[in-house]
Amino acid sequence: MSDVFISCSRHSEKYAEALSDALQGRSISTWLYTRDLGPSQVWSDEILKAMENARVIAFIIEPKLSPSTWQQKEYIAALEYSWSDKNKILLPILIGDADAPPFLRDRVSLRIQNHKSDWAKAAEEVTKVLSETTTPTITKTCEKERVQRLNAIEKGASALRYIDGQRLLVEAMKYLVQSDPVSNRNAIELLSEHVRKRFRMADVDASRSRALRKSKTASKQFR
Amino acid sequence: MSTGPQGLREHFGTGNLAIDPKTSVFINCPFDAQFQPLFDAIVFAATCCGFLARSAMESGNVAESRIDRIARAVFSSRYSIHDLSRCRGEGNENLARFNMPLELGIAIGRRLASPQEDAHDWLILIPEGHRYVRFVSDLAAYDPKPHNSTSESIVPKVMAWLATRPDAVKVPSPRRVLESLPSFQAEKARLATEWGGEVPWADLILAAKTLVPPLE
Repeated sequence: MSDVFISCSRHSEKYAEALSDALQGRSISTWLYTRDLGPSQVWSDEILKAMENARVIAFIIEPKLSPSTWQQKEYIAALEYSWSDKNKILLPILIGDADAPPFLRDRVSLRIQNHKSDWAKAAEEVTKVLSETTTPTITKTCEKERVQRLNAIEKGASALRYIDGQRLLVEAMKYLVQSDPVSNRNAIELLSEHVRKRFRMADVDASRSRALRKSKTASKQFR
Repeated sequence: MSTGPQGLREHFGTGNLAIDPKTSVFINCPFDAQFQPLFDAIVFAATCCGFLARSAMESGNVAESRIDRIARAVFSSRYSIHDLSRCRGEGNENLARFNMPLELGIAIGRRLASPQEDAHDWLILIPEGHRYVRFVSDLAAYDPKPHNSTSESIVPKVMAWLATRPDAVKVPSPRRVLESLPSFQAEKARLATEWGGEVPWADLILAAKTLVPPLE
């Protein structure tokens, strides 16, 4: 988890490290493959994960340097993340007279002309960007966990409602059989068919399947 | 819809539909009824990204063999999109269609035959869980993009790829494109009724162009 992911080519590593140093000097955390990849890690997975979790994705762009195949993959991923997460900031950092790639041309960029002084200025600008944008109170990973938990709760609640509904139908069938099985035959058959066809095990979470199976056995015994 | 400023009919390759290889993208996907919604989504997404969608259907020149027409379209397009969904056994005889891999092969040939600055580039789409690695492991390095056979999953993949090509322009968001997609499909259905099911490619692309959502 970092504030700024720095995307660069091998050729631009020195600039990326200069930016990283300047940002870390301002207590802004960065992710840079030259520093943050550990041994045995699957680098492609780690890079994409770091991009997804960062608040800002900064692209170091040098003049007359076509992006490598991997950089193009990073461009695609960054654009997809920015579409799915409106808080994600894509920031072109142009070295000298470099032009931003087309997908970044509508974004305000930072230009580095003087390598002695401009990195500190760039870090200052990034600090402003980070403080001006809505600071997420929860990180992306936390947000995912929160959504997963809510989904699990919702799933559980829905499974409970599901089981309750099925039990109710079984109770109704019992009542109809006990009161007047001959006159109520059509209604009993209708309910029975509904229980058999409309309630399916695949519709509910596996963790609830045991309870459901028990309930279904009850309805079978009844029939 | 299909007429130019002088009331003349617009033909593919001229006027608004002039072919510039740098912004041409050849679509190599199934276009049977089952895949049709995804094919429409790819064509519309490409148009919304400012590219000219090319297809084996673009030329009505029946005096030329289909493979020649395809090769000509691929060789005059810098980009191509290939969906390998249909490379599996089908029907009673369990036959797989090989048109898609064959056309991808033509695109690879185009890349090898061109100078670096004009190198052909492609996007390979596969359905989630597709076992391409087992039947065509050579493609592993090309990072095929999986989709779940819905427009919602295929449009962002196509747009993210096209929008990051060197010849791209600013694009609307995939959400806006997906919102406009039903209008394009409705217009296509209307054209199909008018043309007895055989909508000329030029008319289809012109329809897509008129329905591109505005930039945010």
